[in-house]
Amino acid sequence: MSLAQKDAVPRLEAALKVTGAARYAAERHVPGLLHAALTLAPIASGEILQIDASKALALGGVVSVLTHENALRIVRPGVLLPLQNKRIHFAGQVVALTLAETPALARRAAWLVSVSYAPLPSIASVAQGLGEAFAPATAGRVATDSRRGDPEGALAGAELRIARSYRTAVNNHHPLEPPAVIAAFEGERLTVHTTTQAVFAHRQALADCFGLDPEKVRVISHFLGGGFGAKGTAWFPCLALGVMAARLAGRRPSSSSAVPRCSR
Amino acid sequence: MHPFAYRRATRDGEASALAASHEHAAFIAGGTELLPLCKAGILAPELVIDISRLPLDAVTSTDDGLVIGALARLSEVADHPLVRRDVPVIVEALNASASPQIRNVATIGGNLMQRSRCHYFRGDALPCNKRAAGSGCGARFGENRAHAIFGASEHCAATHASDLAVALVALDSRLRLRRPDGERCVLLEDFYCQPGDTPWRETELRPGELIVAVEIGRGSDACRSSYLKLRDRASFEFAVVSVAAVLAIEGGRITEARIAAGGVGTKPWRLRGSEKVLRNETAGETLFRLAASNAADGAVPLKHNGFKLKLLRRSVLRVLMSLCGVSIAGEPS
Repeated sequence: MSLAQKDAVPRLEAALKVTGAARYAAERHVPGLLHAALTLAPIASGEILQIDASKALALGGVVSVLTHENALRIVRPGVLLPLQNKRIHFAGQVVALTLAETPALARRAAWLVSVSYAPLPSIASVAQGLGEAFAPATAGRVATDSRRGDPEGALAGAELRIARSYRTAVNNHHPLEPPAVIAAFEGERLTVHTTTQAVFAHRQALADCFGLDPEKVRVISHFLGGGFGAKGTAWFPCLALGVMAARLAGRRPSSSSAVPRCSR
Repeated sequence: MHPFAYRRATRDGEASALAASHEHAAFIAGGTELLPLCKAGILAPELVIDISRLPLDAVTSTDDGLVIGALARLSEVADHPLVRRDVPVIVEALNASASPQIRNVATIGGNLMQRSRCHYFRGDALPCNKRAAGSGCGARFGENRAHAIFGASEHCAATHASDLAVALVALDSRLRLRRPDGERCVLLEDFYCQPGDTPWRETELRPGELIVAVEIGRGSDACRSSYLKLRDRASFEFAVVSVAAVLAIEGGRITEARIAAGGVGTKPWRLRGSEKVLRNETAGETLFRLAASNAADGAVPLKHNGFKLKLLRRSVLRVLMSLCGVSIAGEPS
């Protein structure tokens, strides 16, 4: 303990974070900002039958409602991107994004987006899905199986063998910095303020998805504010959604300077 | 959240008159319950009447008993010398409620008016007759570990969430209710409705009526009392099972016994079978075991909450033993 204290290096941003002085991505002031709120699927599996956004769009200050019917088609291998079709893969999947002049208005309008579903049988636990289990060769870039020495022989000759199942509790990520996206297009130039564990990988992925020159894409994350893996690949679908909202809003001549913020 | 108009009342007559004249009005005091319900889209009042400045926060002792103003904060009541001296069951129930931050702003009246924590009611993905009348009850055939073993109907099995209400029902407390045209008093136990086929109707409160005080009759101050709360985590969590017990013992004989349970009923549930066993008998482990064995009589468990019967019996035994300074040797049946 004393060694750790002697060698401790002060973390530069620690005081900023614990005093609330660190300005996170969602706190960035951008003139003309539009705000997004999400409508999420309440069912674990199924298909969207119909989306009625008329009540949301009737509120003054609501700019648009994005659904799978009017969203941009974007592709990223191995990533489930939102608003691409009517299929529901999990409870909480984004089914609509509402853009409005204020966060409160966006949230209220998102409530008014009415979605009807045809539910399908769902797999809600690992045990329930074991019949369909398979072993992929890799998880990300890491092999799922590895082998050294002679495990069978070592076990057979062992003095003591313990066969037991271990379970771990479900854990949720709770970073200091809440996930958020502020995206602004100026022509084919894109600037994104977000919280990400992979600034350069996300820049490349956004350039690929939206057909942009990576040199003209800036992804800015001043403080990560904690990631724990939740702000890497898992964050990309929402990041892409925020950028898509900016892309579509930017095409409206009356709001060419408008910038959506997508916060969950 | 639906936008609402905000009015601050300066006299309770004004608050009641405003509420009675408006179809979609709600009172706000601490706001720890109303605002989350609005944000979740469960309530959408058009007029919110702020009653927090009304002079209804005093705790006083009268010839008839203890009177706790409806606007007293939970933390103030838990720390009040009269409450601490006369009715420890209230102190224990309050200190087991919510979190210190919430106890510092939430009021007694608001706590008694809090809505169920049933996840079918609080969420919006599954049917709930409290939230949308006639939509059905998700708990009937869904996950129902947290639900009621007493008082449920086919339309609703949500438990009442207040710890304080359980303690107050064990104390035979009354509510003083005020409207522009007069005052009335009702027994807290009768104030709460059974779900029946109208689960959205939860209390006997009439339009515009305001809870102004809780009254605890003389006699309770001569009793010993205690509150036991069992929950899935140690703090900031609602009861799986809770028990409030109030006993008067004279020369070893139990002259008065009132027991109420939380987490098990659609409203705070009096365990009259156990009370009857105790009254006019000599306090002791044998008697307490008999009383505890009756605690779950009449319970109708659902698919996932059958464990509450055993937990309730054991909780009753533990509270009774602790009130008499006896430790438990074995387990009750």
